[in-house]
Amino acid sequence: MRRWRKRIAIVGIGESDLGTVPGKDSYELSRQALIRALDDCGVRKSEVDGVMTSGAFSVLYPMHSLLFCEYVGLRPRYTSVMQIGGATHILNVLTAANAIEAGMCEIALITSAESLRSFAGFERLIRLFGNASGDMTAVYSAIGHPDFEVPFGTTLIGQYALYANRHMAEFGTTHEQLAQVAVSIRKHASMHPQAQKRQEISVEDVMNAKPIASPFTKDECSLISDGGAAIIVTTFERARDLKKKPVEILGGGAKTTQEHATLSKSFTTSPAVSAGNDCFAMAGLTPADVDFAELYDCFSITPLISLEDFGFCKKGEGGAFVESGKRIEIGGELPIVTHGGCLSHCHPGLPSGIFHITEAVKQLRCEVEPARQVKDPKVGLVSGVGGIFSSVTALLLAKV
Amino acid sequence: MSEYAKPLPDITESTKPFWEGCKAGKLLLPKCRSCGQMFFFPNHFCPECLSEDVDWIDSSGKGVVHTFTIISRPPSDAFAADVPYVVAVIDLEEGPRMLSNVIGIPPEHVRVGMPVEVVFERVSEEITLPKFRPFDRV
Repeated sequence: MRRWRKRIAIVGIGESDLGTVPGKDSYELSRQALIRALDDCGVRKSEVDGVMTSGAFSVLYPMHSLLFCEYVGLRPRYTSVMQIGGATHILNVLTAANAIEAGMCEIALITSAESLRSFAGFERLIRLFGNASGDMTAVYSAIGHPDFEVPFGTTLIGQYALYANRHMAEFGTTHEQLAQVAVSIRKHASMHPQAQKRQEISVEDVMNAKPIASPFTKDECSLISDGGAAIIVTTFERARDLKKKPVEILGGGAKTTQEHATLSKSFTTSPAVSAGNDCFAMAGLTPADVDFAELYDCFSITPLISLEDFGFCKKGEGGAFVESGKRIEIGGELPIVTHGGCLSHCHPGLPSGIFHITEAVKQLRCEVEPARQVKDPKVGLVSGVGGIFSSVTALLLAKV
Repeated sequence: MSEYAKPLPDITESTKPFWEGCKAGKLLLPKCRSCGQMFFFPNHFCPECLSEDVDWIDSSGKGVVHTFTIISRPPSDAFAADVPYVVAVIDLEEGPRMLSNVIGIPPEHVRVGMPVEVVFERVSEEITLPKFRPFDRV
């Protein structure tokens, strides 16, 4: 893979209100994020000519991006809807870069928002489809093959737990090490004023919390939130007269292996190996060049396996890497999930991974609270995971 | 049996032989006659070579626990009375991997690598679910 001939960058970001936001459906949350992203970079709405959305389960609509464009009065040349779970937004950024490179648009908007906590807009869906159960989290939690997984009482959390237990059995990874991932991520969230959970926790707190699906306890599982974000991507040329310095997209990678956990070839290694190799090759970089990593963190095992698969440590050594938290916290050799991630910052379902991108941009612009700021960051890696380690996307971003 | 409230699989033309097998106490696994591959989930075509020439093999019903989890928070009220219960991925002797429950043993005694064998649990007129219990190799 070669990089784009045009130098392409993220130039604007905006986040909606996060956490519990009653009364704002996903379109409205995206509108709020869009206004903030336009304001962030100084692009006029009428200049946006590419729009990539993720759809939203809470307002299920067959042509999501068309309805969103109508809602906010956008009339793009290029538009698409992408839906590969938490891996969606990175692929949307890459789609934007590709469309810009091909001349199909010049200024692209990537947006995603969901009302997973307040279900704003969901009542319309129930009206549309008749007597649905009315609980969207129940829909999410029961994700699985309807004939060969769901009848056995599997859950989304339980399916990630299958990876955790296999990793523990094969490499001696301990539950304490997994718990440390949640503890370190919460520590970052404690310094983030917008994070949904900011109360610091200890490994003992995690170990003693309510069991959900072994080995995971409550603190090792993503939050349920409302929220969304918007990202503006364009060329360096166009970025010249914008408000903020561009954050360059150096490389991207993606890999899909299956949807259902049952069909995973490996319960210790993820598609991040392939996505990471492609991403580093495109950027001409190695893991040693990365100053921080916004690794997707839907459950405590996810960043641990990702550290190994992206080559930050050897296979099986993820547990030792995260132990004590020193290496993965701000000030350590590779701070991860510096905003608090899905575990402590915000997890509205489909949009959850978009905040890993906006956080990486903020870090590279040195715009976060001083306590949370990675020292002099030049390169950040962002990852997204869709399904049950089914699809992984990766992005390397750099300060110019 | 009418009070069985948990989700049930649909029987389709593609999966009928599998469910018919379970009903008769056999774990039938699809095998592609064209490329020789055994596969799971059951289907009317081979996911590797896409051939529709599918045979059904009467498996030994034996395997080992590849990985598992103990579910404490159920997906719905229908499973509430069962918690804690084990969801496991089983490596079948013949090759394919399937997801099921390990029963007949306290959940905390289940281990990765544990040998298991299939048992059949009749849950409705049409559906018998394949589950697994520990199996001592002599």
